[in-house]
Amino acid sequence: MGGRGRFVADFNESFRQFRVRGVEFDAMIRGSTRVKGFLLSRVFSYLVNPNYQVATFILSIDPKKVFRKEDYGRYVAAIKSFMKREEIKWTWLYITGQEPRPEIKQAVERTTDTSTGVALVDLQNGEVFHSDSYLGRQAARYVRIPKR
Amino acid sequence: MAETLSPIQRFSLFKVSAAVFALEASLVILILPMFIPLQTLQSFAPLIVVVNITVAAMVGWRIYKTSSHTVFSFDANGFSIKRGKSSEVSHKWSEFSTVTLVRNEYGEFSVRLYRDKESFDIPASKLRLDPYSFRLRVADILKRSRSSRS
Repeated sequence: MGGRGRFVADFNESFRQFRVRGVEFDAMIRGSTRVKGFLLSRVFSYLVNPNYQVATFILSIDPKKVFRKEDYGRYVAAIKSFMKREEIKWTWLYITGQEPRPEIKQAVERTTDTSTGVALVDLQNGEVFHSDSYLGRQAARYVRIPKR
Repeated sequence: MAETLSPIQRFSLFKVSAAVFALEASLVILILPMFIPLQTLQSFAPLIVVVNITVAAMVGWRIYKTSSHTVFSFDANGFSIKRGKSSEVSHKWSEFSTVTLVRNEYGEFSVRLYRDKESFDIPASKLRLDPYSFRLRVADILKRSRSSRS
């Protein structure tokens, strides 16, 4: 792992324009919290990390369209359905947009689901809003907004 | 027009040749001293090493060609892939609906094609393709084949 990356999970498959339950995410990556490296990494991971299937969804809000609270709800519901179907334990959802509506910020901050961490990234102002859970706080910590 | 890729997978070839060399070296160390005095063997050591390396390279190449060497060809309609002496597998792009990028524990990438619950992997790293741009290219081909069907 190079640069300023942090170990979150061993993501090994990435999808683009990923559709689930009638909504489309720009990208989805999935993997496991357990590393499948060489011998020592495997042993360390086996002893330390839980074996959870995890996924990260990325959604970029189209600036030409209005993204409402109901839309946010549909995306979160789609993720929950996907988690149930694929037996995924944790997910992160990253939403990026230019000055998202206040109702979206509030909806994100009021999300209390402990198995889904949501981070809303306001690219215009360089702010990050996150859901009220451990995974949400973690999701916000992983975000790096490039300086303009 | 079909494109064909069949690069030599140097690391695979090295691994096979190294394994053959290790086997030969073990045999030389264990068996030859039973028949030839050690002093005589020592005087021939450089020659034995050169012969072992040559034989390992030749046998390694043969094993690599029959087991690992991959030939991949594709065009706008479909693709075929052949690994070693195994029979060629051919598919049409239109059989698949989704394309993803997969990384294995050795850091090698494959482009994975999904057809319902089934999947088929194209070993992009082994074919020395840029996996990111190849995935986009395949996604574009799938999109075109879908739109031509509808």
